[in-house]
Amino acid sequence: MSNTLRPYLNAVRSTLTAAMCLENFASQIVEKHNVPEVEAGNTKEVLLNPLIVSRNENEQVLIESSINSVRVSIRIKQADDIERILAHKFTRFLMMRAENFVILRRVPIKGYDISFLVTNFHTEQMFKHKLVDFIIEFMEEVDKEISEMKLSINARARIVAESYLSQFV
Amino acid sequence: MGILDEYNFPFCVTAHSFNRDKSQVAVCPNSNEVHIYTRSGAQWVAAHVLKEHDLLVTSIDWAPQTNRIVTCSQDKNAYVWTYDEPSGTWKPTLVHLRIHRAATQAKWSPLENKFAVASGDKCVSVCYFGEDNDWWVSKHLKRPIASTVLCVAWHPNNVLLACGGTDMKARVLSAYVKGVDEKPAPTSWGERLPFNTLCGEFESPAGGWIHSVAFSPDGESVAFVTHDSSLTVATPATGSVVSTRTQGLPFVSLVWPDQHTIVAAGHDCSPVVFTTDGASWRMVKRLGEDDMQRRSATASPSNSNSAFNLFRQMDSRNQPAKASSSASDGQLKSVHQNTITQIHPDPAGVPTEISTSGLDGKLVQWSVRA
Repeated sequence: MSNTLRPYLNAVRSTLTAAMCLENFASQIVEKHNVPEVEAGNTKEVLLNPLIVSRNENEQVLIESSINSVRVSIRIKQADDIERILAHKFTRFLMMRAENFVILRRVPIKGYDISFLVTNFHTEQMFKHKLVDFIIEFMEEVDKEISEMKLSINARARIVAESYLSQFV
Repeated sequence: MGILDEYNFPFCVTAHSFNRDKSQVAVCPNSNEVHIYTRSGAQWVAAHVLKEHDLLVTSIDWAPQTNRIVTCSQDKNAYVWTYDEPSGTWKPTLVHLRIHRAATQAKWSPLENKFAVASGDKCVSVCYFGEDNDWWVSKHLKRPIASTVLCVAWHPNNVLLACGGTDMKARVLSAYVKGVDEKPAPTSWGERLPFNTLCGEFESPAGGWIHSVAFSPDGESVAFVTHDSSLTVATPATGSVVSTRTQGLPFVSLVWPDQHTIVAAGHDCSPVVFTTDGASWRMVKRLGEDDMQRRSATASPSNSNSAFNLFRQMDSRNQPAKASSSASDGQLKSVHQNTITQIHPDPAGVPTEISTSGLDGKLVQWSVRA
């Protein structure tokens, strides 16, 4: 792990731990409804200030919290066109299967690549510290995954080019 | 000091309340039902299921003297349950709350002739038994409240009521009901107290939603915990508002068992004891710390093996040890493994005993001896 990644992830971890102090909160706008307040956004007093933890302009985490839900949006590092395509395909693959990941949102927030929505129902079913671990692990893995894919694409391209050009030798 | 009794239910316990001799407990398994368990030895055995609410039950309060249970729910209703001896069942009576949003907390007054129901309708319903129409009726405390009320607490004189909520202010209001209450003696909160008199309005220095309020046993001060992880104590007689900030996560619930001790618990998963030197409040200890050391000492040797594996794995992958608060096997170091939802004083009034329930399904009785 590089030297700047560790404080970045530590900052995200402690912010998430503090933001994930959720409780059951029924809507005070519509009777008998219980909605994630961060998504509804129509009760201003139960929203907290959104927070951005940023490693550089390409890698950021936006954490928006409220009394019963927290939305975590991640901007994944994309240095060149290949990485951009790979990140897009990868997050699309995950988000199409969002219900299998329980806390994944189907559509990311504008400006970010992938979003999670954690509600009080998730913190009731699952241990909070494990949820935080899951998001941090995702952030660690996704960079690794994309750079691995990029390497294998390059290797494959090299093999293809070699075998194609070998017939002219 | 430490744990008197610990029991693990197979569901989240979102609310609990004991009867007077603690032989029975009413718990809400995070659903629209209330389960009553009876003690048999070290076990709790299911005895009754109270099914009348449509949505999540948010609060349960068992009146120790009159043996009645009040429950309230997000379906805007509250029921008073009375035990019918001949048939051996609990009989519900609907309360006429007149609210149009979820009820959040219900509490019996000290004399148990009234109860208060906080709600998302930006009001508190003060309910009393209307003899003439044989029905629990309510009056609304409405005026300065600007948002959902999350918590209520009664003053020992049965008249004053503290409430706090997402409008970030804790208020002390008069809930004097003509014909039910006798005229209260003048206190430092005020002399004439008609219904809905505002006797005090407080907030913590950093703001934040108020999750729980409590009066001191002598009724001279009010304490509340807010989402900025602080405990604030206000005393109108001296005009002091003292706030104690803590390092951990916010508290959700607090009790004030005796004059010099406050116990608060919440997202940090362990109850915290505060004491006073007369001027300020100071955090003294976390309950259950010594107990966890005992547990880890008696843990099986296979645990250390898994820790060894974990460190070897980290070493081979060149990772630092995780900065999380969890130990190597993913267990937290506290007794509760998830947020503590509620903390209750002893129903018989023993000041050194409290009980907590958490989202991990644990129901723990503690002894708080300083």
